[in-house]
Amino acid sequence: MPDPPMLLEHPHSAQASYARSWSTAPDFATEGAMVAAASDVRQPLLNQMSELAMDCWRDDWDGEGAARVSAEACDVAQRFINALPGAYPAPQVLADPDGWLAFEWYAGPGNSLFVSVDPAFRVHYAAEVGADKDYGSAAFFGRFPETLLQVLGRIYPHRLCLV
Amino acid sequence: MPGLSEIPVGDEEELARFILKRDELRQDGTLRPLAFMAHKHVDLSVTRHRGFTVKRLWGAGRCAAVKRKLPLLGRADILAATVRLAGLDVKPAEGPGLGPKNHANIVKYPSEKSEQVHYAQILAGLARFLPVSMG
Repeated sequence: MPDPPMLLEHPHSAQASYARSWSTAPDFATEGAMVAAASDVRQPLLNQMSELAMDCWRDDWDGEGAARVSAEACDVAQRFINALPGAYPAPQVLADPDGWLAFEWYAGPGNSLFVSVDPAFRVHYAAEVGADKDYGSAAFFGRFPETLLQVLGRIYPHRLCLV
Repeated sequence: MPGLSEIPVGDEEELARFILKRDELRQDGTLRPLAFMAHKHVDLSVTRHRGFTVKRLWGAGRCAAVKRKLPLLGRADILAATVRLAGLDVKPAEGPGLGPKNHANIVKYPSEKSEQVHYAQILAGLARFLPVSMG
């Protein structure tokens, strides 16, 4: 499987179209990574996502000016769900006030990863692992970002990596 | 005598962020970064405890809930000093009579998304959640 295409900070629409055609098949192992989450894990997440999209379909859904969750946001979030590694617990699906969908893995106070999935094919994350804090952004075209895999490996150190 | 909006927010002041969305709260009672996520204006509305009784503070929360058409689940309390130590700041709402009484804003959130989430995560981890049932 080829590496994902290099990204500009703001991908041209042609690149975005290409990116949409490059997707990770639900059930195959990429080098050094995990088997994607099984469908019985993905489907509840997809259901949560659909419910959130319905709850947040209009602007100002939170009474503080939140942007509505768009079809584009759902599309990329679905790809993210399809790319989730099978070795870790399922995250909670949430709505971000920027109109994006977000995911949180939580393993107790001070051990969590929060990821906002940007419709422009990026993920923005913040992590806390004990006293360590980390944050950043990464491209996402369908393969679960290596950066996030590393964070999950630290949050859940006893989970086995399935290849 | 100056109005509250003209009095700077002291380090010792406690601030309340009313929790109206279930996604802001985890099942174990801890707060998610969403509770302190700034967006749009890159600042975050909070209520100063200053001069308020507990009853009046919760009343402000109920008003906020009615205005936003969401249920009041509780509030997240955090010291202004904690916000400043994290790298942000707290300013009283501009101008007398603008917005709710005792209104202030957490400001200086960065414009970059992951950094916003980072600060929200820090504040959520340091704030104390009080469910509305505590009165």
